[in-house]
Amino acid sequence: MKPAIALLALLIGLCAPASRAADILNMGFYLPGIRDANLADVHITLQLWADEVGKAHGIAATAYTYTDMAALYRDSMGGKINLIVAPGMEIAETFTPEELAPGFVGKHHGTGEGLALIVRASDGIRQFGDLRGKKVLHLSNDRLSSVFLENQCRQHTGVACTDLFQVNEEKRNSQTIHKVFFGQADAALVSISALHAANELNPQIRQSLRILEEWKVSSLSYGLMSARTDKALRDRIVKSAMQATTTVRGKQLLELFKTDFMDRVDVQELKPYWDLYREHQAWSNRKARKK
Amino acid sequence: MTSPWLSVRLLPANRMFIRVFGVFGSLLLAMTILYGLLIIPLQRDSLLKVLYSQATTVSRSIIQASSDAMLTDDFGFVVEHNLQVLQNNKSIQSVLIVPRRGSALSIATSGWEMLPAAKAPIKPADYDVESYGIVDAPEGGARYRYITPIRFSGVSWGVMQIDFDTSDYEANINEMYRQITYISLFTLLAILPIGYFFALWLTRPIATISLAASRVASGELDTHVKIDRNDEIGDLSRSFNQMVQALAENRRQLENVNLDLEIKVTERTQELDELNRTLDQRVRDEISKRKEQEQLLIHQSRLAAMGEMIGAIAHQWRQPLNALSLVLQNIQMQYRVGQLSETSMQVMQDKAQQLILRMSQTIDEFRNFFKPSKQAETFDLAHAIQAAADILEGMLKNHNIQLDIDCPADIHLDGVPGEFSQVILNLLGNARDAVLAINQPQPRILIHAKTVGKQVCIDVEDNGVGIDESIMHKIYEPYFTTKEEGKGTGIGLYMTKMIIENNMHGLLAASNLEQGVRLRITLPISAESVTAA
Repeated sequence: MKPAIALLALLIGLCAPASRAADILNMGFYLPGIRDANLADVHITLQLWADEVGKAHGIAATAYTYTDMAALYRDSMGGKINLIVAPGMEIAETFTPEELAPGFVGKHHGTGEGLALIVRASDGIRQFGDLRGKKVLHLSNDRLSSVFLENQCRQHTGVACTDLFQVNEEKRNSQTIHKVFFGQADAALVSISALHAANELNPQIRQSLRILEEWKVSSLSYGLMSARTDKALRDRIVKSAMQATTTVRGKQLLELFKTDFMDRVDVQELKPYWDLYREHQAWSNRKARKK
Repeated sequence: MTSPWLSVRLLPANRMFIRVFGVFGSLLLAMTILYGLLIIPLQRDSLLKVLYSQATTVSRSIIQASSDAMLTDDFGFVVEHNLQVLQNNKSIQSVLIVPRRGSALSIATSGWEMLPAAKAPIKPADYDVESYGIVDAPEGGARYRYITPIRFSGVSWGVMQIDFDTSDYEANINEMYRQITYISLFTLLAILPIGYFFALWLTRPIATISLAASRVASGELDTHVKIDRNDEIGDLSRSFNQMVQALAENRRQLENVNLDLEIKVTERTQELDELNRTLDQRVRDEISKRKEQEQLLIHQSRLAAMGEMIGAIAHQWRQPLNALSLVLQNIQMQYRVGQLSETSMQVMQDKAQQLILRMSQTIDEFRNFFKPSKQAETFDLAHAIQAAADILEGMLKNHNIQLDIDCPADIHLDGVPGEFSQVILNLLGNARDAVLAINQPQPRILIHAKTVGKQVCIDVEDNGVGIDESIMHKIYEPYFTTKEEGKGTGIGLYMTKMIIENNMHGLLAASNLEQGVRLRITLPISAESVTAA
């Protein structure tokens, strides 16, 4: 899970008004999307913060974790979960826009978010088709990378990626970038924020790597309210969340999760995901029909 | 009036209090500073050892975790791992990995970069050397740098340099300095009350005793100190009180002694006054006694001289008396035989008359010689000596004593001739007794006179018994004699010395010869003789 997801949940709980003692905020977290952190620690931390914040603001805040988006979807539709926290691609594949309501997302100043297909500048790879026969890396267990890369392969060459180049998975974006930098892979699909961070850490990376393809979105993970949640509660949570970064606790959370600020997100911002999903569905259906 | 029992009222502003307070405070402060100076290097070493231990642990962890990646040139993993290490361990500032082949990796919390081997700060010669220590950071401040070789199965792969943040170290050092400063300040603050009371506790009884001693020295022997302590100070105060009591007792005794002494002095003074008052009378009495004694001595001397004269007369008269006796026997015998004629009677009468006349002359001569003339006059020395010798001539001849006189003529002396004759007679008498005392087979007496400048030396020598040196200093004392009882009065030599030295202003000295004694008379020659010469 992106740090912003956890931050989002915490800030929501933190900023909930104390006057509504009867309000209930149930947060559903999709854990497979969390990387670079111990999942058990994340769960405990989320619950503790939920309890603390809930007591402070008079909200019965509870954190629920899920390893299956279908289960999260069911609980959301059943009214158990008010807030869905999961990667954008998984949300797009599971929910329709009508089933979701506006929520919050952690963002970085200046750098957007998205995916970047990077290659070494010195390798002479100028277009996607030049990746034929190369070794390409992307994040493991990342649905977005798989869908995006597959769409790109179909779009540029008309064949599946497995027929075009060797695909390997890595656990972390930074590790993926370094492998390309040190020549252990020819290309890699990484997040834009991770690439930016890598460039910040070592300007030599910016000089030696080149972005072959780029796909931008507002964030890779989102926290969206369920459309079934009472609108007044949604508005109150949104309004409180917008003030989260102005409090001491909110600033600590932003710093902790390396997120510059919290921003309101509309359901429509997930449109690139739904487009990507539909495109991927189209390729998949076409492939299925061929079979 | 001050109380004999001194209270402990004492201002601390005395020199001993200030000194004790100063010494106590200085000592405590010095010990604190010394403790700080000693503990700082130890603490610094301990902190450096902690840093070293941390550095070795981190380096081993990194090398162990990255060993496979290093061997397979998976530098991506190496960078990734070290970034994580840096992220998880905020005390590590940077890691520099320099392989023997290829570029070096410089990894820091702010970023990482590849460095050409030539730009690596560690030279190949230092790849196998472990080093560590505090170094200056380029951005300022300091950092702990640990450099360790990277070896796999004994093969040197490269070298690793880890820079640690020294903020904790410096914070600990600063904390240590701060604590020592606090301790020093606390010590300073503590010195004031503790040192005050300590110095007061230590010096107040001493000052009390000192004050009491001053009072005692000024005469207040009723002074006592009251210090109830079971230590040396308490013992001192008790001893002091005992000493003061003893002093008071001694003073009382001394006063009594002084009183007695004053009484005695008064008595002695009165006695002395009385003595002074009677001193003149006593002196007059003593002088009178002295004169009487001298008269007695003179009288005795005259008696002795008379004895000598009678003896001499007896000797002089023995021969004419015998002759007179023979004349009377002749007269008687001629008468018996009828041959007494008028002529023979006339002859024997004339002869007897001559003998009687001679005896009469002898008496006149002796009477003239011993005539008690008191008038000083100038007389001839040789004549005086010869006259005295003539008186004793018979006696000397009777004992076969040879008398030789060697006296130049025309030596005149000033004095009483009779006294001088008595001197010569005394000396000749002593010489006679001396030679007779040892039955000298060839007894001899020599009178020798000679002029030495304006003086004349008259030696009377004999070859008699001599004088024991042990009594030489006593021979001029009155009534001192070595002769048998009845044969000597002990006043002859005493009178001789008195006449020579007091009346004639000369000297008399005795000395032993090889055989006998020499009595030397030294007298000034009369001005008449000097003029004539």
